[in-house]
Amino acid sequence: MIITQKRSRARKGFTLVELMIATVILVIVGLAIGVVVVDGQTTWNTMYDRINSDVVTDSYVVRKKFDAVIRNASSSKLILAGDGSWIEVYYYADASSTVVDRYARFYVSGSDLNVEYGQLSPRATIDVETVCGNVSECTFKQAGTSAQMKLILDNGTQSQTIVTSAVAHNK
Amino acid sequence: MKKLLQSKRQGSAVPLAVVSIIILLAMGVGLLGLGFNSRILSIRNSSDIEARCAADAGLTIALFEMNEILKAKLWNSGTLPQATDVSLPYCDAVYSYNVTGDHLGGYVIKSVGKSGLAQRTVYATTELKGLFDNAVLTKADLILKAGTLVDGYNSLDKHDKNTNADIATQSTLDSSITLNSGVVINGDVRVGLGGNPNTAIKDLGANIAGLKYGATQKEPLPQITVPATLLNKGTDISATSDTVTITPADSGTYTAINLKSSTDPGVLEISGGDVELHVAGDIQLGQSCQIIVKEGSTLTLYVDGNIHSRESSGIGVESKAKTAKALELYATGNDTQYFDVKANSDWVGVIYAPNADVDLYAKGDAYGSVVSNNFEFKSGGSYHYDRALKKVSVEDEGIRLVVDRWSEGKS
Repeated sequence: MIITQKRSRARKGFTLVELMIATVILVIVGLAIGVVVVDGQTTWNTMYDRINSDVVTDSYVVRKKFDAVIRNASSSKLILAGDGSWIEVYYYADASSTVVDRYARFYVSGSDLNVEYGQLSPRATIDVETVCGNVSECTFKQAGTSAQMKLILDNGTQSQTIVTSAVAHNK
Repeated sequence: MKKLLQSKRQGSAVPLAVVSIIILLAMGVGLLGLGFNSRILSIRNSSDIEARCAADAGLTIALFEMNEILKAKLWNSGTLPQATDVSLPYCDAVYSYNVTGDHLGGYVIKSVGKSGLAQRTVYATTELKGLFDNAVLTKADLILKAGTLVDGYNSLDKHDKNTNADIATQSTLDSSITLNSGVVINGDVRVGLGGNPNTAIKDLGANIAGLKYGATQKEPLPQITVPATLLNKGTDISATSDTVTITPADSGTYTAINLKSSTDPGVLEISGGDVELHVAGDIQLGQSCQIIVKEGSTLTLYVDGNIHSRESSGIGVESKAKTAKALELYATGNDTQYFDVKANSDWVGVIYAPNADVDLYAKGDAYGSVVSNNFEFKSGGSYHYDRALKKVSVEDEGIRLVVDRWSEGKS
């Protein structure tokens, strides 16, 4: 009888059922936390990409560049390609210029959006600047003294459509 | 089991829960921070755009008010427009502007737009723009005869080597501009607002040194009114086989001008200075009859009717420098007019007739500028645009202020 009591004291612990229940609860809780963590991480990555990915930051740069060049351009003429693939505007080199003596042309080369600066007379290229890459589509339009650009940037994982317009202000 | 539950030993559930909460909290804070930064960036961008629009609006309004002052000819510096913190409709932006300078040295407009913390400032200098900015500007059709050379010169500055001269139409219809074979344009060819130059220009073998393009804005063609200072003379000016001389003292309104040829051609001679004539009816030049503007004199003609020129008749200007402003011809009628203008040698002068169809025949070259409804250069040599016409004063007809140079700053 004494031996039996000792044995029963020594066998105290979890039953198999208790262990299984505990394990199931732990697995469920773990999975739930895991799902939430993974979902949160995915959401974070998505949001971060939407705000800070290369196509998004490039879109800001493109807008600023297009805005600056067009607004400073001469409103007397904006030359557009027949298919809207490029636009050329004219501007003054500096404050001492008496006539419009420079041009700037936005165009797509490969997957890059470039802006070419040059002098008019005689016509010669001064500089070509790459504004952004990952261009999948780009069209320009003109209405009066304003120019519009529709640009789609696609880096393979994210696509960003930019529509921007600006009015030429100089003579 | 009972003992285990009563045990004071700590389990792992609470730390696990705390760690989970911290992780979720960190993620939540991170996402909130990301969203907040994105929102701040978005607000800054929209504020910047609003401020820019407000600054542009201020500049446009200041320029409009300047032109209203120009129309009223109130050139007093005290009347220069200014405004402070005017609300831009449908947004929170405000604009302020002020104008400095005078009509001799030019004006500078400063316009500031504000929205939230964003502020944009634009500056513009202005210049006066007259009616004759192109060699030829039409509302509808423009036809140049074969072999016409269109270029520029400057009657006020012999050293000006710029020979650029533009021609333009405000029409966008097909073949609005016809350039016959051998035409040479030493400048641009412009068609109407939004027009397609490839269809609006009928090129039959011309050489265009500049660009072909659609206009970016429609140039206003204001109606010219006859100066109230011209007194009604109640008669016409006529000369039959004789010469009639008109001096500045004879300036006024006449019913018509009739020059007839009998034994000799009738001649109307303008001399002694600046003559202004308003002709309420037609101008008829009989065969070989002439209107001659003598060297040193100018003639400004306001014509309500038509101009008919018979064979070998013409309007001649004696100007060694080929000063186009020596003869100014304005169509002031209410209906469609027709100007049949001839010159026995060179044609020198400007024609502003946006409601008239103008045909120009010259036995020599043509010097000056034409603004008309339809225009055809029917005969003559080359067509030279007087670039001195770009220099205008507040006393000239139909002037307006436009932006000359524009710049932008952040503050």
